[in-house]
Amino acid sequence: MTATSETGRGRDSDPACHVRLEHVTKRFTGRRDGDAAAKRPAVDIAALETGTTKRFAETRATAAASPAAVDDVSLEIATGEIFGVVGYSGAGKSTLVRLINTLERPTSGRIQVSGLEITELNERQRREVRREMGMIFQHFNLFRSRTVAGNVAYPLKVAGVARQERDRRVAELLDFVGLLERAHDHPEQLSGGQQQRVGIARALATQPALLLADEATSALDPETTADVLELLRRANQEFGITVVVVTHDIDVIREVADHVAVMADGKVVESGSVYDVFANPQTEVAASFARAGLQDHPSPGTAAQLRETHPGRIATVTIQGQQGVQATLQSAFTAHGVGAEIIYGAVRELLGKPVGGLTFALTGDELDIEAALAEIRAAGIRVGEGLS
Amino acid sequence: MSFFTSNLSTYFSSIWQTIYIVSIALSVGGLVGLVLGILLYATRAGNLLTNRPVFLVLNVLVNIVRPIPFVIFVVAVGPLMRVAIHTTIGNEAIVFALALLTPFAVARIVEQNLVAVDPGVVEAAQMAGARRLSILLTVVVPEALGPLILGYTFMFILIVDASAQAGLFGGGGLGNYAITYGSQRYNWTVTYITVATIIVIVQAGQFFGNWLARRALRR
Repeated sequence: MTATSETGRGRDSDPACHVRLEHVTKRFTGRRDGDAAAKRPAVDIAALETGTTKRFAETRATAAASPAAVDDVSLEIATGEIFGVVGYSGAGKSTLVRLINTLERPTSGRIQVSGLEITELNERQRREVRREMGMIFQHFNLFRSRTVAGNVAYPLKVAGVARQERDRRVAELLDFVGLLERAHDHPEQLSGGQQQRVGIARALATQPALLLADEATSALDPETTADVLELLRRANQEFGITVVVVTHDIDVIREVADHVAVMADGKVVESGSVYDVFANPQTEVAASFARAGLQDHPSPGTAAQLRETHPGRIATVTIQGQQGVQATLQSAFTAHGVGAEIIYGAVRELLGKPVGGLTFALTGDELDIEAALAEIRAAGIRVGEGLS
Repeated sequence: MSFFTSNLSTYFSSIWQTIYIVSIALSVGGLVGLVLGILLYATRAGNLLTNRPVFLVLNVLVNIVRPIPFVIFVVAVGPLMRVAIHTTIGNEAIVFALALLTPFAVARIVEQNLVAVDPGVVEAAQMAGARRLSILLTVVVPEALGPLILGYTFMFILIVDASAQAGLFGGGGLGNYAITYGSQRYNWTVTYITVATIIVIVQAGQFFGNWLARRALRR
C-alpha cells in the first residue's frame, strides 16, 4: 500500500492537504457549548477548555468579554509535513483542531484546507470536507458495538464503498497497523496501543489528505507511544498525508514534527521549525517546553541539590546546533587551567544538529575562569551563570 | 381441585389476553418511544440535532404525561378513545391507552441510555463524514444497545403490571381473572395460581432481557 500503487490514494495527481488559518478566533458563548463540554469525559482537554470558557460566557452580556478559546491564530501548515501544536491544558489546542475539522465554526477569521474556504460551508459540504480528513483521538473513540474490522469499515460504508472493495481496504489497513489477525475481535479485547492503531486504520480508511491527532498518545505508555508515532510517521511518508499532531507532550513533537506552534491562552505564542523552537525559544512558554523536551536543565529540586554539592562557580553552556562545542570547551578550560566537571546536562540531535545544555562546576582562579568563559563566548557559544 | 376442572380454558384465555395486551402495547409504545427518546437526546443542547424549541416541548410533554397513573390515564383519554376506536372499554381500550402512555416512559428510558453514549464516539462518526440521522441510528443506538434492552425489559414488566388493571375497564387478562375468579369468589387457589403465573411471565421476560443484553454487551 503505497501512494503510487493502483490501490492507493485515488488522487495521486492532487497534492495532499495544506491548511491555512488567518486570524482565527473562537469564543464559546451561550449555553450550547457549555452543555457540550459538560457531557464530555472529565479528563478531556477540550472539555477543560470549553468548561473554563463557559464560566465567563453564561450570559450574552458577558459573552463578548469572554476570553477566546482560540485567539487570533494565524498558521500555515504545508502539504506533506507533520505539524505539531503544543501547549498546556486549556491552551486552546483541541479547539483549534475542532476548528480545522469543521466540528466548530470560528467566531471570526478564515480557515482554508487545500485552498477551500471551510468556514463558509454548509453542513453537507462540511461532511464532505471531513471525509478528506482522518482524526485520531486521545481516548481512541472506537465503536464498541463493532468489531475491529467493523470500526475500520465504517468510514468506507459511509463513503458508499462497495462491500468487496471495502473488505479489501480493511484488510490492507489492518495489515498496515499490524492488527490483521485481530480483525474479528472487539475493541475492549485490545490493549490501549492496539486500540489506537485501530483508530489510525479507521482514520486512514478513506485515504484522507489530512490526519489530525488530538492528544493521540496521551493515554499511552512510552513504548506504545513510540509505536503510534512510528505509524503516524509512516502514514506521512508512505501516503504523503499532512499530519497535525496536537499534544501537551513535547517529546511527541521532538519525535515526529517538522514545524511546531506553541500555544498559550488561545494564542500561538511561537512557531517555527522544531529545531528553532527547541534551540532558541523566544518565549517563556516555549522555553519551558524546550527544557522539558531536552531535559538539559535540572528541575528546581535537583538544582538546589546541585548547588549544595557544588558550592563553587557553576556555568551552563547552551548548545544550539554548533558543531565542535566540546572541543572548544575543552581547549578553553585547559588553556586557562580551569577544572570543569559536568554536573548536569543533555545533548540531543534535532534534524542532525546537536541541541542541549551542559552545566559545569568550575574550579580554579576566578580570573582564569572569567578568561576561559570569555574565550568560549568569543567562539559564539552561549554561557550562562549558574544553572540556566 | 375445582380450579383445574371449571376454569382451565378461562385461565389460558386470560394468559393469552395478557400477552396480547402487553405485546401490542410494548411493540407500538416501544417503537414510538424509541423515536421520541432519540429526538429528546438529539435535540438537546450541544447534540447532533440541537433544537431548543423541539427539545423543550418534548421534554415538558414527557414530564407531564409520564407520571399519570394508568387507571386515571385510561379515564382521561376516554374522549380520544371514543373518536379513535369507538369504545372506552374492553381490551382494545386498554391496548389503546397503554400504547399511548408507554412511549412517554420509554422515551425517557431511551434518552437516559443514549446520553450515556460517549460523545467522542459520535465525534468519530462525524469525522467519518456520516450524516446526523445515520449517526443516530447506526452508531448511537447500537452503542447503547445493552442498556436499552435492559430498559425495555424494565418497561415490559411495568406494562404487565399496568395490564392487570384492564379488568377495571371491562378488559380481560390475568389481573381480571385473579379478581373475578379468585378474589371475588374467595378462591385462594385461583388467586395464587394467577399470581404465580404473572411471576413466571415477568421472570421469563427478565431472563430473556438479561440474556439479550448480555449478548449485546458481550459479557
